[in-house]
Amino acid sequence: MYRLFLALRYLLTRPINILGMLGVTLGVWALIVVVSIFSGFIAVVTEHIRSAGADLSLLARDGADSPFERERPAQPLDEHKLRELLEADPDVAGTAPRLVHFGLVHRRGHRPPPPPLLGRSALQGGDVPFLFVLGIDPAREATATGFRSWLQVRDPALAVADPDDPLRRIDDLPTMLLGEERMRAEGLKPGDKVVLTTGRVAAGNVAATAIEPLHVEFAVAGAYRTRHGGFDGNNLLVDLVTLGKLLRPDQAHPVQELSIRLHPGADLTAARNRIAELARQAAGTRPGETGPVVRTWRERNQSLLQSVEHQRALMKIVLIVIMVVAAFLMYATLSMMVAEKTGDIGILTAMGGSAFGIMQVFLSCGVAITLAGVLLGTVTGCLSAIYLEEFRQFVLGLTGVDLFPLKVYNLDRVPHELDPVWIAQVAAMAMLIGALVSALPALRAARHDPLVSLRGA
Amino acid sequence: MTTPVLAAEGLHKSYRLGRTEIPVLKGVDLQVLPGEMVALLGMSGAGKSTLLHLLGLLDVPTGGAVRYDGAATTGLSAAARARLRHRHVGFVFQFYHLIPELTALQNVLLGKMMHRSVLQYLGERRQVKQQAIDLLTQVGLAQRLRHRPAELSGGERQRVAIARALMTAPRVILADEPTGNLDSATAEGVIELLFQINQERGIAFVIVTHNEDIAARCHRTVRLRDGRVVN
Amino acid sequence: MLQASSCLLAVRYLRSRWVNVLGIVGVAVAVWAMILVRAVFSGFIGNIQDDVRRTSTDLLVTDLPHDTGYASLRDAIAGVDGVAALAPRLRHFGVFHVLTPQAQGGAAQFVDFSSASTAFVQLVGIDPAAEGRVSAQTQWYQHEHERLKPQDLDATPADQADPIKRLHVPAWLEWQGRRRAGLPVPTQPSLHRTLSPGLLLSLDRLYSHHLEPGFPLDIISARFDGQADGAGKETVAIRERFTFAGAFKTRHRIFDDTTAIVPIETLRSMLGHDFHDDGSIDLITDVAIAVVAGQDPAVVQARVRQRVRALPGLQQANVLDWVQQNQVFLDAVGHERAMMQIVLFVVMLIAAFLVYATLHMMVAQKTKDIGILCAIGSTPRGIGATFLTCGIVIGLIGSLAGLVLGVLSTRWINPVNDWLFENFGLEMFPRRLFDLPEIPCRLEPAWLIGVPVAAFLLTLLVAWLPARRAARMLPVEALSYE
Repeated sequence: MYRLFLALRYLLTRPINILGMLGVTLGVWALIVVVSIFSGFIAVVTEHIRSAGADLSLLARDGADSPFERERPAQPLDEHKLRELLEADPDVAGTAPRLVHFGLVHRRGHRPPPPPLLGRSALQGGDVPFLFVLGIDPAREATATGFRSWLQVRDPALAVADPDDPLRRIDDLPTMLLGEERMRAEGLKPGDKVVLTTGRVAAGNVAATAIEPLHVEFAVAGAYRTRHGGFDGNNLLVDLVTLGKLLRPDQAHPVQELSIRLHPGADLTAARNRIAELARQAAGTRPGETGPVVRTWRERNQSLLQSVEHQRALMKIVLIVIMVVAAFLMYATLSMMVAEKTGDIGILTAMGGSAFGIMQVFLSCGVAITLAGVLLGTVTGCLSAIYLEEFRQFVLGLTGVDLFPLKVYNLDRVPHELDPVWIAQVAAMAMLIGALVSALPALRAARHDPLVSLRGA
Repeated sequence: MTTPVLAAEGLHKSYRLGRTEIPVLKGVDLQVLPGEMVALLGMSGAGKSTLLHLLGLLDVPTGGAVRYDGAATTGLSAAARARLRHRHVGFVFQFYHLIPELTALQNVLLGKMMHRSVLQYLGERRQVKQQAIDLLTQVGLAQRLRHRPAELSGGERQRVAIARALMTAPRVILADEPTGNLDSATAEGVIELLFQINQERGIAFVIVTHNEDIAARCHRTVRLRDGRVVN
Repeated sequence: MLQASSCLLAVRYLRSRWVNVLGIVGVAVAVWAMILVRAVFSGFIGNIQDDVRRTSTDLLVTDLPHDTGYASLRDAIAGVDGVAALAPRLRHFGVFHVLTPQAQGGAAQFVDFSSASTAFVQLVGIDPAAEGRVSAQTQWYQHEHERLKPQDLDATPADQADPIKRLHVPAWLEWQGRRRAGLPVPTQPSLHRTLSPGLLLSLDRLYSHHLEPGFPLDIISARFDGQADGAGKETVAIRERFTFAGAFKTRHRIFDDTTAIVPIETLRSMLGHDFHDDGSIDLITDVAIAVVAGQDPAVVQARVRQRVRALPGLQQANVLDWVQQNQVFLDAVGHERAMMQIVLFVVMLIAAFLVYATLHMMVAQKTKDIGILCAIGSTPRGIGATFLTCGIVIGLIGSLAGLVLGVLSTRWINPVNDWLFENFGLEMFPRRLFDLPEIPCRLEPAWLIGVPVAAFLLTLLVAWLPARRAARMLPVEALSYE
């Protein structure tokens, strides 16, 4: 009992201990806030990427990497065969076929502007004239991606007329879906007639895979909106069969890419490897050839995700420096407390306190300070992470300084994700460091010769 | 008539303890002439130490005045009082009050280092150092210059404190029970030293003591009781 | 005026209390971290700036309306004081497609973006002769020790049929490439005459597409032009065949990934302004300008802007310096550095707490000494100075140690990173991710001076508080303190 009592008295009578606690608080606070911003950013980017794509993509690819060393050109996927195989797989929830092409969309008589200067264009694109043209099957697409939710756009005037059949022909013209921002920027409305200027690999070209120009009139069906601004700005969606007939009139049902959705909880990597093997068998890929490739959503966005994750790791290293200095602070305050209380230690020993008991007094001081610091730091850290957006707007209104460049990353607010594991790790690490640095002075106190302190030298 | 080096005129001092005011000194008059040795006697709690602190300008009286060489010290700033104290008085305490981190020599030099900038001090270093060594030799510690207080005996420590007080060549030394913490043989030596200094240098002394023998050897004895001088 | 006694006591107090070493270490760690991290970040940013700068010109006239001709702008700008040289630029969009031999003759095939033989590209039409004077283009053809040779970029061969179409590929090289791509060629290289204008792509493209100089490439694009049936102007798809003439590498990844350099006359022809046609104009979208060395670019920029906007129809035109040309890239990186600095500031703050705590405790423990000093006649200022000096010494040693450590760390960061990787497989900075041969470090003098000075001042501030407390202590109370 006296140990607890003394520890409490020592703590309360010495305001300098608050400083030690504040050090721990600041350290924990910074570790939680900064990492939560980065985690939030990663989570948002991941969510954006995933909202605009499937879990796995099976790509028709063949032969060696170099087009000059290929034994045969890339073959379209045998979609019917693959679909049967894939839907037998326990992890596969849905598949959707795709064609990937390119094109330029413009109204008749309208002149597209030159491409923007690289350093002045949006980082995620959306302002270059050429777009990817994706041929999709709306019904199948909805089973593999969030296609149905893409059709819910912000501006009702730009929405498709019939979400159940979004690519229905208008005035006997094939239709297309454009990203909402792009559609607004180009001043297009549903029902407008546009021309898709593109090219196709000429059939019967005698010697080389040359491309011939192609113009097709389309009607705009409406807008779509994923949460991935980069996807919306650079892709337009048309009907798979329409695009297939334009590009490969000789083939009944050509497919270049297969989007695959897995059941929740499925092992992404294992599924990828298994499906890749299925696809190679289905395509009759010979050993040594690349064959069809299966990519996870993560692999398709590797460079972006890796660089953000690495930045988070680097930030963690820098943040550890804070904890080190905070540990110094704790150690300094506690060791000074021991130095100052040598007289008390002598008295305690004289009164029959054991060395162990004395150690406990000082150790519990240290642990109590750390605990208070960790608690305060965790609470303030979580609160500041949650209300960072409000803080940003406050600072923006007050000084005009924008703390976080949200526009660059196409975000609405400062992202945050409070990862309980990380918070627990930080708290545990802080507690461990706190206990460690208070153990040293506490041990010193326990070893202290009571006679020396009583003599008061 | 000679001007007293140190004079107290109707000194009052009271401390606040919560709401009550506790008077310690209730009008003390005291005059110390140059070269005079005054013994200050009194019961514990009679206000001897308080009087000494007031005389040394360490504390400010509630009423009355302290005069140095006839000049009033009332209303001076803390810095001005410090400079006056530095020039005029030296302190010797019962518990020696040496700086534990410094050697005997450094403790003595400390007085000279005050009110001198680093550069000034470096210029006069040799001369000042010799002066300190001479003083320590005079108090019989020629062999102990480089020792720290912890390595010295009680008597030796007090001699260092005396040398330190002498270093600034004060007009008067205020000694607060200089032998209170020493055994009688050592105490005798220290007292002898004080009398010797008094005779050789003509420095006035105010010695607070309980020892009637010491008081008897002084030129004059002043007794304090309940904050007043009694005769 | 620092009293000699304050100085002596400060040194003695510090020496006898090794807990003060912690304060020094705290300040040193904070200064070290600030210098090292800032240096690495500045290195990264500096690298990006260098790369970006390399792809930019001193000034660029842009935002010109459609169908702007070069001649009038050249005449207007060339006379401006401070303009050293200028060159026409024509930007256009396109898709490029590598011509590949077909094993299965005649079968149509898809454009395959995933295998990277097809990609979007930004065509930049340049006048090779003029371009060399306005941009660092000659540096683009130097990569490490390798010289990336654009075929005869500067020289116009005498046998060239159309001297205006430069970026000339020697006949024998084109012959080889066409033969490999399966295009019809004469039996002997000597019978072949160069057919297509040259096109430059980045070194990364060369590797990823397995290209070799001489290979034929198709560029698909669109132009706004009168149609054959005379039904008014319309956007029509166009295709032009080029020969891959060589590689460049600016190290600016986005520029390298998206840019194809072609002769401006070829691009003009593609867009319906062939040199030989009547009524064709010397079409441009930008004018690149080099500023005379020693002239303030901002001043020249203002002069050029005034001159350009005075021309009919060009009120909306803009003149950009190199920073404005690359606003998007530069903004993104600067914010990251700012965030890191906030984190480091917290380190500094805790180090300041540490110094405050140690000095505060020192004053508490030295209360009796303060009383003694008073008794000997030290002024309050002298007593304060003693403790402030302690802070000064801590701040000074800590800042200097942090500075030295920081500078040394930037020198040794690469060997340490190598060593960690070789012995433990750890990589603090994955170079592949950043496409850099080594961790870039850049020490900015202002930062090298600013951080230690700021750390020192902060230490001084937190030392001042306990020092003031010491100075204000009542001597009698200090003496009787136990």
